[in-house]
Amino acid sequence: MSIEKVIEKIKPIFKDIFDDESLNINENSNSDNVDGWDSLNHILLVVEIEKKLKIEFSAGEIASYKNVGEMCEAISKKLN
Amino acid sequence: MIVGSVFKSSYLVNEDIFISFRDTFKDHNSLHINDNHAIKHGFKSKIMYGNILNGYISHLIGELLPLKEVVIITQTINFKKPFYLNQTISLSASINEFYESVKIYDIGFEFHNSNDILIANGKVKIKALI
Repeated sequence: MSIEKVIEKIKPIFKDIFDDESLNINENSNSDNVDGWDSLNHILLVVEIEKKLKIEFSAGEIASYKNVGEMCEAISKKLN
Repeated sequence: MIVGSVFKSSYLVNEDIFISFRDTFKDHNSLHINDNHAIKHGFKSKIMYGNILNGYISHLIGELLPLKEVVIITQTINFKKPFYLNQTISLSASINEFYESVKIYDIGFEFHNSNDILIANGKVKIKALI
């Protein structure tokens, strides 16, 4: 699955967790430029992404992602 | 603590608990304190505060689970039927999922009365701190 398709798949998860229908993430989105992306929402995001996409991250992977693009690249590899 | 583990406990909702909750949170709604008013609305007597059950979830997380270094992240509860003074309420909770990457346990729970009627159910996510 392409990174673009992964982003489209996780967009609804972001909107749900951040309770913001207008939220439109892209590859460069991260905790510095998305309002409300705190440690709690980060945990909930990871849980929902793992659950909805039926994948698993390691703690090390989660800590290494600098933005949505890097996370989606990893997700893409897990889904392929 | 492994997925599939089940934890059970039962609680008598007695006068002490009722009065403590009422006086702590200052909810004097007539449905909770006036039998006649509650009966007029179709209940058997004054109904207990649903959020007493959330206190038992706190007991579950803080006392019944083998992991002690945990915090509640999210909690939802659905109230299905009323419960009454001096009823014994049974709690059953099961570990549904564990997310290793963020050390989150997803726990489902149900409360039943002594006639095995479902009083409430819900989910709670807790995070292990170590």
